[in-house]
Amino acid sequence: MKSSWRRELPFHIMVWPGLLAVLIFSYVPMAGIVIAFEKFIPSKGIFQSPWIGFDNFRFLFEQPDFAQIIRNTVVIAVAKIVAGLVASIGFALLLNELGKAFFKRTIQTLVYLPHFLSWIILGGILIDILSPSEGIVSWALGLIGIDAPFFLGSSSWFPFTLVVSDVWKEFGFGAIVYLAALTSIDPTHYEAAVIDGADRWRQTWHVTLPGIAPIVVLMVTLSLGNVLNAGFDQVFILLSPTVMDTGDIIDTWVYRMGLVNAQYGLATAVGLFKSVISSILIVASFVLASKFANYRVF
Amino acid sequence: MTNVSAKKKMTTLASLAFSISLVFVSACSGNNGNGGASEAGPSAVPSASPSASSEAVQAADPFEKYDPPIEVKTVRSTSARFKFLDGESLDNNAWSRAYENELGIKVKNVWTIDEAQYQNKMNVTIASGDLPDLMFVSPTQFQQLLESDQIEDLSAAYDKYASPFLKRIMEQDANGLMKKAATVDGKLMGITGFGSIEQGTAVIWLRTDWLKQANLPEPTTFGDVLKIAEAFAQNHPGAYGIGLNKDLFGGLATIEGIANAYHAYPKIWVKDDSGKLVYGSVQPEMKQTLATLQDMYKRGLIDKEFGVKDGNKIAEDIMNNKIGLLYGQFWHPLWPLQEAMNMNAASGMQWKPYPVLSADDRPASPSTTIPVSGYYVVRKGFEHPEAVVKLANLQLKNAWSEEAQAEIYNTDKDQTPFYLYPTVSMEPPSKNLEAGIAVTEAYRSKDFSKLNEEQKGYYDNVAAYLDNQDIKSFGNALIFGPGGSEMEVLKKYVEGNLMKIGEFYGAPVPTQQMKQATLDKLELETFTKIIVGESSVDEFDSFVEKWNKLGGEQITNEINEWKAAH
Repeated sequence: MKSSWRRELPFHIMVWPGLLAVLIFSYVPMAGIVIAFEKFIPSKGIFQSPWIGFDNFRFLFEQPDFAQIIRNTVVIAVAKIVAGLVASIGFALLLNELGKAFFKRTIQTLVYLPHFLSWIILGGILIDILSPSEGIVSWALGLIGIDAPFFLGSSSWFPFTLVVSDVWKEFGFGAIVYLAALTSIDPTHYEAAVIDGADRWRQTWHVTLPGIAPIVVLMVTLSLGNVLNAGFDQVFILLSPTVMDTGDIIDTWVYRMGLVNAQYGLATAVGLFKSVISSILIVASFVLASKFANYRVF
Repeated sequence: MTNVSAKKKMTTLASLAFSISLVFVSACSGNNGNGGASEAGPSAVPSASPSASSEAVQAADPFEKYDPPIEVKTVRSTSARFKFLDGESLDNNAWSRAYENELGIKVKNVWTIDEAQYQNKMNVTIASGDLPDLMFVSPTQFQQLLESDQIEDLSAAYDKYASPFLKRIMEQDANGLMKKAATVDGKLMGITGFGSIEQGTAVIWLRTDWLKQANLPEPTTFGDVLKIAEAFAQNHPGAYGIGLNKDLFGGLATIEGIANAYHAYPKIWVKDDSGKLVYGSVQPEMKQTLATLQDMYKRGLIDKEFGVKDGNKIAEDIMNNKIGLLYGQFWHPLWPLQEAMNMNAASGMQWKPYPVLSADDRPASPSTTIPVSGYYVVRKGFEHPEAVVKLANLQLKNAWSEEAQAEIYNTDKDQTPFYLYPTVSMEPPSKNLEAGIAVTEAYRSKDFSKLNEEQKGYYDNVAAYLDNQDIKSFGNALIFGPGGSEMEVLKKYVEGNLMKIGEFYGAPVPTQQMKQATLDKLELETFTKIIVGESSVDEFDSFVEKWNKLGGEQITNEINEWKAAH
């Protein structure tokens, strides 16, 4: 007993600073959630501001554009998750087939570079290259006889533009996880498959994909928590009045309400609403993953 | 090896010494600050200086210097218009030196941020509870700070220290509205920040070199404007007939002036026939305006991509010879036209301002608001509330009085905008118009003896531009000189008594605080969709209905209650 305590003590010492940080920065601030139920007046603080119960939530659900905003958020976020997943896995598989290590690493580095650019910069670039009159994209489409749509100014194209540009920016970075998973597949499985006469496609289908399935399930499970996160910085930079009906998301709405109009209670209420929905989704996906894929994340 | 580690050691020592000295310095300045606080008490006792004693019995010297100096923490908005001399900055310039040398006030800018983000940052600062000593706040924030009792009553400081000049502006100019707007329950809670009423109006800016090329006469009706737009779009490949900003209102390339052509007054509260205050954007005249804009868009007179272009993109388009006609403000020669001229004057670029023109036989009234842009307020509990009054006194003296030194405090020959630097910035409401009239008169008679320092500075710009074709002086010349926006446009607005002035200048009413963001989005979205033809013009009627239902009606009632009380 005593010896095990002695053995574990260093680990306890190591874990405590981290736990403390989580406690201080993640759990204590949760007390601030109470302002979702208050008409929060900053100078009066959390304890003196008038208590208004669920009025903030009622106001939120009564907003004429609320349903539209939720729909936009979910559509954009889900499309980003699915497209991002497909692109990342596809890219990782393709890159894995490449033989030369130098070539492989160079491409990998080039592809994940955009991840480090901020949307503020990319936003300005996108406005220029997607311009129907003088952007390079419309010029290229013109060469093959296609009339370029107004990607950033047409409500039907705007969500598409958001998803594609986000996938372009992030798929290289997302692929890192899958590339790591691919390297952990036992090479003997491939050897066995080759002996059984499997070609490249068969190998991919029967060895590679099952090999990375747990990681895919893990990533899907984790990303379900983001179904209400459509990406504030990207949408905020690219949003314009013409595309409000398909582009306005929860976060941009909160920005206008919470920051511009200084309705902090309301903004917190929306944040709480989002968190509750996300928690439900995460728990649900966790249960589903363990039930159907027999895989437990934690 | 030893060398490297020795070097490393040295660096560590040096940085250690440096950080220690920092601690030392800040400790010292902390001491100084404390000393200042305790010693400023006695020195603030009225010293009855002869220059100001006539104003009131209790009045002290408006420029009384703090000894030892005090520090005033404040926050600032900046913008692309801010330019500095070499080695200078917002913390070190003619103004900051004047504050320190003449008043003994060290102004410390705790943070600075682009003006577009200033209100948000200020909201966050207010929410954090960590207020600077002195700050400029919007009417909404002013109201919040009042309700939460976070700002200091300035009545006593104002009565004691306000210079006669400041008093004139606050109490006499613009019907004494400036003091009235900042007075709550008989207490002066801030120094009102404002511009002049006529400066909020729309001005047409037109490229006259293109006009000449098109062989068209100067516009006298809104119909002429449309014809010119059409000619510009046809004659100049890649150019648009008229510039339009995605925000539609307030600033460069906006629609207020076009609405005024149809006697519509968007975004402001005006009296209807029954004397009730109504919101201009939901009146029937606005529908006519949108129909015209939709038609212009259809005919290719408006940039198909305007929906994604903000003011900075519009400025780029102007510099790249894509826009030769737009509705904007009187000050655009300084930005962005000055830069456009720097680039294009050699190839013949010329600009001229025109007043807004009517689409029918009734003259057009440019819309504007009573120009309370915000308030300079002092944190409750700050030891030196009178500092804000002194800063205002000195700024008025150095920038606008007979003793003003325009070369040092306004702009120099290269148009470095010193006038943007002051911590508290005020101006006599009519001073720009007066300057325009005086400078133009002086230029015609070649007698500049009657001009004050600031006006003399403009006069020099006008002479340099008109006589010597000095492009760098274009900005001020086209505002204050003959043919400038003051003479050609604002003077006509004022003398013709043409302006339609928005009648609501209070802090947002309760329903506005909750619903304004939603209504603004609805308005901007509907108008934009109508202009680009995604919605028909008749959509305007259902917009009005929705607007009323979503809180507009309630806001209208509350604003009329406010009106009844004021």
